[in-house]
Amino acid sequence: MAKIELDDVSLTFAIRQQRKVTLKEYLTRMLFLPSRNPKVAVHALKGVTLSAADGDRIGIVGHNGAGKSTLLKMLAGVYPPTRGTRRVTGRVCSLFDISLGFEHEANGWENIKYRAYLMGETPATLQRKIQGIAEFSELGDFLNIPVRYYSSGMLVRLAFSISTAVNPEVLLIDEVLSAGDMAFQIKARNRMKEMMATARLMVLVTHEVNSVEEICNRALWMQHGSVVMDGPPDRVVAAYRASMSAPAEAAHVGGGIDGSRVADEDLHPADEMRAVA
Amino acid sequence: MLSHIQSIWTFRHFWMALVKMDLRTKYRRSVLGVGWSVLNPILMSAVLMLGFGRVLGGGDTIREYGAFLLSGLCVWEFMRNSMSIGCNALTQNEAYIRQSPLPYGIYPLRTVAGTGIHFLISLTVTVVIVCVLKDSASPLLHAWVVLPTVALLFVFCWSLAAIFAFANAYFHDTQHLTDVVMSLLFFLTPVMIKPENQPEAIRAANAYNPFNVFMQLVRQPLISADDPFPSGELWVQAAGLTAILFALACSTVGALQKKVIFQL
Repeated sequence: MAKIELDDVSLTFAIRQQRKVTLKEYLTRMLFLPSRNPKVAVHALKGVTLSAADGDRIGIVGHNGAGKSTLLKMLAGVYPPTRGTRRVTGRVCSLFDISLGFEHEANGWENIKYRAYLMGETPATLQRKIQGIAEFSELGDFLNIPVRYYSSGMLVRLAFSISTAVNPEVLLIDEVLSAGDMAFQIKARNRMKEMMATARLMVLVTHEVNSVEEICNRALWMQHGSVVMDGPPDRVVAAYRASMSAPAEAAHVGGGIDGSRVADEDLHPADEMRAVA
Repeated sequence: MLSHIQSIWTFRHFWMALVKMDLRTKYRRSVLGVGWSVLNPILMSAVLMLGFGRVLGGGDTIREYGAFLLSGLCVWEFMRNSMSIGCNALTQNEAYIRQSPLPYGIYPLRTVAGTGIHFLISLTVTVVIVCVLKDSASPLLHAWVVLPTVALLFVFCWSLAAIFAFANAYFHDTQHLTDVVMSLLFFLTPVMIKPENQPEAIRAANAYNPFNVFMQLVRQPLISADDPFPSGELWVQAAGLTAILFALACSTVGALQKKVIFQL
C-alpha cells in the first residue's frame, strides 16, 4: 500500500545573500550589531496539504520557482518540513537531478552498482538486472571507461537506465522526460510509461502540460509555494493556461522571499516527521 | 539510533562499494599503487628518524627508537586522517545527500572505513618491521593484544569523523582549525618524543590525552617485550572515552540530521 500524506507542510530556507560568512560578520554578531548579511527566509512551501493513495497519478504544474521540485524532494525525504507533518509509505524511487552523484573516476559498470545500491538493490538482485540496464543505455564499450569521459547526453542515458530499472511503489519524477537524443527520448518515454503503469503512486513535475493531461488522473497547480488548485488534469491545466494570458499575476517568479531576519530557532523541522520507506 | 544503525547495515553494499572505489582512486595512476600504504609509515619513520633521531631518541639505539616511532605513527595517522578527512564527509557526499535520504552515519563511515584499511596495512607492516628491528618474535606473538584496541579505535575514529563532519558543515573553518590543532598535538602527544623526554607538565597533561591512551594501548604490546599487557586502567580509560565520544556522535547525528541539509 503506497500512501502520501502531507498535513499543512511548510518549508522555509534561511539563506544569506552572500554565501560566505566573514570574520567581520562573526564579530559584529558578537557586538550585537545588526548584520549586513542577514539570513533571509525563502518560503519554498507554504501550508501544503496533500493526500494521495494507490492509483493516483499526480501531475504538478506551475512557474519556475513555484516550489514544485522542492515539494518532490520533500516527498522523497531529502528535505524535512520546517512545519507540518509528512508521511510517505511505500518504497520510494525518485528521478530528479539524475545526472548528479556520479563517481567520475569510476567506470560505467561501477556507477551502475553504486547507483543501484543507493536505491536499495543488493548484489543478488542487481545481478539479474545489470545486463538489462547496460543494454537499455546502449553505451556498449563506453561502460568500461571512467564516466568523466562521458558527454552529458551519455551521462543522462546511463542515469536514466539505472534509475528506471527498479520497481518502486511511489515514483517521483522531475522533468526527466527530455532525456538524451531523439531516439533515446522515444525509448525513455516508453520506459516511463511502463514504470508509471507498475508504480502504485506517481507524482510528476513537468512543464509539458500536455503530458499531464495525457498521463495523470489528478493535477496540482502550484504558485509561490502554495497549491492554488487541485483537481482533474483538464480543469487544472485549463486554469493554468488561462493564468498565463493574465501576465501581471502569473509572471511573478519565485516562492515567497521576505527580507526579514530569521532566527535559527524558527527553522526547526517538525519532530513528527515520519517516513516509512 | 538502533533504526539508524539498521539502516546503515541495509545500505552496506552502497558504502562498501564506495570505500573500495576510494581505495582504488587514491593510488590511481601511481606505479606503486597500494604499495604506498605499506611504504608510507616506513618512509615517514625513516625521515623523522634521520631528522630527529639523535635529538629525541635520548639514549636509545636507532633500532629501539625506530620501533617506538613506527608503532606511534601508524595509530596517530589513523586518528588524524579520520578527523581531517572526516571534516569533509558531508560536503563531499552532498550529491548523495540531496538525492536520497540515507542515514547520515554512512558518510563518516565511508571515510573511516577507508582510513581504517590503511591503518590495518600500516599496523601489519609495523608489526613485521618492529620484529626485525628488535630481532625478536615478541611483537608478532603479542599482536593479538592490539586487536580489541583496533575495534575500539574504529568506533572512536568514526565518532570523531561524524562530529567533525557536522561541525564543518555549520562552521567551514573547522577543517583548517583541526589541521592546526592536530599539528600542535603531534608534538604534545608522545608520537615521536618519548614521554620521559617531555617536560613534566606535558607528561601530566598526556594522562588525559585520548590520543595518547590509544597510542599506549597499541605501542605497549609491540615494543615492550618484558611487559606487553597494558594496564586494566588504560583499557577502562579507552573504553570510557570511546563510549562517551560515541554517545556524543550519535546525539550529534540524531539532533542535526534533519537540519544539516540546509547548511550544505
